[in-house]
Amino acid sequence: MFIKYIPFLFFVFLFSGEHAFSQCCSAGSPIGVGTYAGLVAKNNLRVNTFSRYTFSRDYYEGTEKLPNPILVDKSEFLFQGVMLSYGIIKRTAIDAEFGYFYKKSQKYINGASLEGNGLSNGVVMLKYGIFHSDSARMDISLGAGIKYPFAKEPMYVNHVKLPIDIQPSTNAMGYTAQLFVKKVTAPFKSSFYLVSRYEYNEPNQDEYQYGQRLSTSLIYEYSFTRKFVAMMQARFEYTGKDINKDKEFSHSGSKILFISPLVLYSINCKWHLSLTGDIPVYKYYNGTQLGNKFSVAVNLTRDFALKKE
Amino acid sequence: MKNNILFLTFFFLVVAFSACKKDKTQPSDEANSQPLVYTSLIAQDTSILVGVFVTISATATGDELTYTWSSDYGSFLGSGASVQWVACHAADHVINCEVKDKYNNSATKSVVIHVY
Repeated sequence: MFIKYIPFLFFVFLFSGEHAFSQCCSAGSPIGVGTYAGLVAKNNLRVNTFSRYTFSRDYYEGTEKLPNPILVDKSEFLFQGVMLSYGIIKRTAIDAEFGYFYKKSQKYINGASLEGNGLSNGVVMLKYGIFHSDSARMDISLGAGIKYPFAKEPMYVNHVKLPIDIQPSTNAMGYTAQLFVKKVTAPFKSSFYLVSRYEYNEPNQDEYQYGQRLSTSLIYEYSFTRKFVAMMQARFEYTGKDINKDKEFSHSGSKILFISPLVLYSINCKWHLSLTGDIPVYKYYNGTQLGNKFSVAVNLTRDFALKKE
Repeated sequence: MKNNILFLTFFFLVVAFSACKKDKTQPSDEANSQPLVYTSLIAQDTSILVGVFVTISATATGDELTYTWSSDYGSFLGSGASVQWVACHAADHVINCEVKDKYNNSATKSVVIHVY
C-alpha cells in the first residue's frame, strides 16, 4: 500500500530550503520550498541529494533592469544539498539538511573574479502531522527547527575576507517553521500541495543579519505512469532587508515569483531521479541588486523502510 | 527502538559538528629578531565612486608578515601588503588590515572609505 504513494512522497527534497542570500551582488538562494516538507512514515528513512546551479546577471532597481552592470558582470554557484528525514514515531519525523557550495563566485566587469566554497548552514527540524484523513485524501503537517552554521567565522582566502555575497554560510544561528498541506485528487493521479516555510536569522559575529525569508509554493503534480511524474510549481519568495550593525541595508531583500517545472523518473520504484528549473517571472528588488536569471537542479531520492510494522 | 536511537544519535552529531571552534592563538614569548612595526595603512583615495576600485596599502616591518584584510562590506581583489577594494553601494565603509608576524604578534589599523 505504501508503495502506491511513493511517487507522491519523493518530491520531498526536490528543493531544499536552507538559507537565503540576497544582497547586491549575489546569485540568489540555493533553493526554494518543495514537497519535501511532507512527513515520512514511522521507521522510514528518506535520503535525498541534489545539485543546483544558479546563474545571475544584470542589475535591477525595483522591477526595472538597469542598462549597464555596476560592478559584477555575473555571479553563479554550484551547490550540493543533502537531506535526511526519519519517521521517529507515528505522525512525527525529524529532518536534517546540510549542503556544500562547490563554487560561489562573482566575475567583475574589469575581468577579475572572486570565488568561495564550503559548507553552508544546516537545519534540524521536527515535524508533526496535525491532520490526516483517508476519506478527504488530505494531510497537514507543521514543523519547527533550528538553523546552525558549520562555521561561526566568515571565510577568508589568502587572508582576505570574501565579500558577504559569496560567503558560503550565514555564520549565524537561525530558526525555521513550515506548513505543509497535501491534497490528493481522485483517482490518485494528481495532487495539490501548499508548502510554506519561514526562516529567521540571528546576527553573526560581524553583526550582519541576513533578512528573514518567507517562501510559499503552490504545486500541482500529475502521475502519467508509476514511473513518470510531472509537476508545476509557482513559488513566491519574500526576503526581508539585511541588517548591518543595527542599520538596515537598503540594497537587500526582494519579492520574486518563480515558476518551476519538474519531471521525475522512478528507477525500479526505488530510486527517484528528477530534473527541475527555476524561472523567475516576477522580480522586485529593494534598492539596486543583481538579478537571478535561472536555476537548474538534479535530484536523487530514495526511501528506506528500516523496520517492518 | 534501536534504529530510533541510532538516527537520533546521527542527528545529534550533525548539530554537534557545528559547534567546533577555532582556537585563538596567543602571542608568543619568543624573542623577535625583528620587532613588528606597523607604520601605516593608506588608501590611494578615501572618497570614491560606486564601482570604482581603490588601492589600499599597509606598510609594516617584521618577521614573515601576513596581512589579513576585512571590511564590513565590499570586495577585495589581491592579497598581501597592498589590495584593491570596491563597493557597489554608497556609504562609509571601514577597511581593516591586521598584520601578524611569525611569533603571532599582531597589530591592526583601519581606514574609512567614503563611497558615493
